[in-house]
Amino acid sequence: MKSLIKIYFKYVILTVSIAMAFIVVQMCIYIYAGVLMWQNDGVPLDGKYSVRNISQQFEFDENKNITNSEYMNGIIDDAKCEFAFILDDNGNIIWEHNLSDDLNHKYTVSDVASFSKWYLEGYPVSVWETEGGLAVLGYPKDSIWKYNIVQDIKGLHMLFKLIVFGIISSFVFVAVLIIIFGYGYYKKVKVITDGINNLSNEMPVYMPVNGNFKEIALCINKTAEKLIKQKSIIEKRDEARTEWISAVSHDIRTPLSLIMGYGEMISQNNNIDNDTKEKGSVIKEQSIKIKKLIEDLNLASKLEYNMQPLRKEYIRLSSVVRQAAVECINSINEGAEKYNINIDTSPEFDEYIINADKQLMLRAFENIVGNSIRHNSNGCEIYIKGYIENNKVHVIFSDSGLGIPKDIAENINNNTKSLKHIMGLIIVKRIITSHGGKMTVNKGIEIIFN
Amino acid sequence: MNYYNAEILIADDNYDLCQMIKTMLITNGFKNTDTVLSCSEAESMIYKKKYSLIILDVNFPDEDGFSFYKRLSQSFDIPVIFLSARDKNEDRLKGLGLGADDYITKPFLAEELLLRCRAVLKRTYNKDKNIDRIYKIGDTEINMSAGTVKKTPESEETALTNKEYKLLNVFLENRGRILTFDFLAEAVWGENYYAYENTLMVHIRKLREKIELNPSNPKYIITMKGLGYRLNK
Repeated sequence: MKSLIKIYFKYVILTVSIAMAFIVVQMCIYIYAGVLMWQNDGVPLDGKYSVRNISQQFEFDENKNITNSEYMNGIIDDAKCEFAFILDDNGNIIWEHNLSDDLNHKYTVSDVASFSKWYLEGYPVSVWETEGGLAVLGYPKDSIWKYNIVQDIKGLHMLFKLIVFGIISSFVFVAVLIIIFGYGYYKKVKVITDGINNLSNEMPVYMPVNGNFKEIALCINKTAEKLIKQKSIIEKRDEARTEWISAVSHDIRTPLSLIMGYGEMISQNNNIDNDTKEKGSVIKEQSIKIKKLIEDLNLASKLEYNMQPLRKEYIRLSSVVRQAAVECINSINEGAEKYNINIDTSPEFDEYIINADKQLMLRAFENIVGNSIRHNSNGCEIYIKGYIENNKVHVIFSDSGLGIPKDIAENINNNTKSLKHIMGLIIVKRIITSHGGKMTVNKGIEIIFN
Repeated sequence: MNYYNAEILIADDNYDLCQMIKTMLITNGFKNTDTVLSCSEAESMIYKKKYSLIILDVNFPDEDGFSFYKRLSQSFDIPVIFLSARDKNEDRLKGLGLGADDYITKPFLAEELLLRCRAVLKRTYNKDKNIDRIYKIGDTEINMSAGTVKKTPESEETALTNKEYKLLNVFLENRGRILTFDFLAEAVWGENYYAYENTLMVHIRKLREKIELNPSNPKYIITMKGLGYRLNK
């Protein structure tokens, strides 16, 4: 089944894209979180209130005394700093704001190095150089996490490469897993679809009953068994029906022979009055009709259930058409001259050889021409046209008489059941279709072979 | 050669049908007919009497007609017409394949049975007597035994060529019926007749010259346009 491999590919594409989408969504979430962190209004570390910005706003006189102390106090409060101070080069505080007493002392170089890297008594601090010394901004305890990262550049490059490699390799890994597991399922499902395929082709199905698809396999096996059983029942019944029809049509022949024979004898006995003779000939004529009907019934039932073996041979279609037309004319007892056959065939059609059962083809064409004769007792022109167009062989029968009634034509074309006596045309259609041809009935009858 | 004197045996397991065929034959001039209802009766009758034709059914309760005929034809040379309710082509071919002279399916027309009996008897009854087959087409007299044609009683006899003879023979056997090109060509040239249709026209023209008073306006060998030819009665 081709569609299964398509389903498999769709599954792979879908799951891989789900994994990709998952990663993309994750990345989006992290980026969004980063942006949120950046923009959070807890402790402003960036922009207007950054340590650099604030530090640069300190103004000093020539003695390195701050001249805008008031203004800076406001800014530092706005920056949500707990305290701030400035150390001179010797580690002495030359200016402070909100600095608690235990912090207000001299700082050694090692103190400075320590708090600039870590914390000042638990307070996170930022430092920046100013004209007057080192500005130190202290933030509330537990408001900032501080950690110094030291990494050599080579290692950093490596780390970056590792991250990219990690993303790609984990992605490939996931894709491979999806493909492998998907293929495993594909193979299991394939067993099922092959089973269903066999089922639809009326072939026996015996699927292994195990694994995830155990129940499905069991169901399909059961269905297959039932189908085969039903098929053989139907075949047997069709065969019985055909046999029965065949037996009846066989048994009716001898009694009918008697009716027909005596009818004929009465009609030809010159010692009997004309009226009775006429009746005898009616008996004979009607018996002939019954005979034809029985033959048709028998043939129709055999064709219907494919019990009529086709004795195919290579024959000239034009020759069969001609022979059928001639047989019909020859079999008319009286008034054959009222019917005129106009046969018009192209040279290619005359040469066309068909692989067909000659007797059945003859029967089909005779039925058609015979219909034209039977339904136009006052005589008519019968037209037969044969030609080849687009590699298709056309044979068209029509007549100048009454033509085929619309409802009968529709019944034949649509294969609908009908109560009207159209056995002859049904047989024609069955013969034509069993030879791979197509028959359509309009006013005339068109037959097409490929 | 009066084949109406021929002894005919009718074998069919249906008594009524036997009687009907007997009546039919008698009213049409065949005086000497016997009927039997089984193969064994038929066999004992054949040992008693010399029959010129057997009309034989196929389905008997004791033995089927095919095997009976097969057995019979080993020791006797009697023409047989099968008269059977089996209408399958296989059965027909089997019957004819065994060497039967004809195969008629039931129900049948009395006239058809009579015609076929006559045809068989004409061919087989008293066949040692050499009787000329003479036919008349209008004023033309044809002697098929000699293969000669006399256009008018006054004119000289002309011989028919091989092809003309074959053509005329099928025409005479099917007088009044239309015969297709294919049928005629096959009758003259055999199975692979496909290339001969134009040649057929030439032979028909020659045949007309020998038979028709006015060959360009034929009265007897009539062209049926697109279909074939017919020899008028």
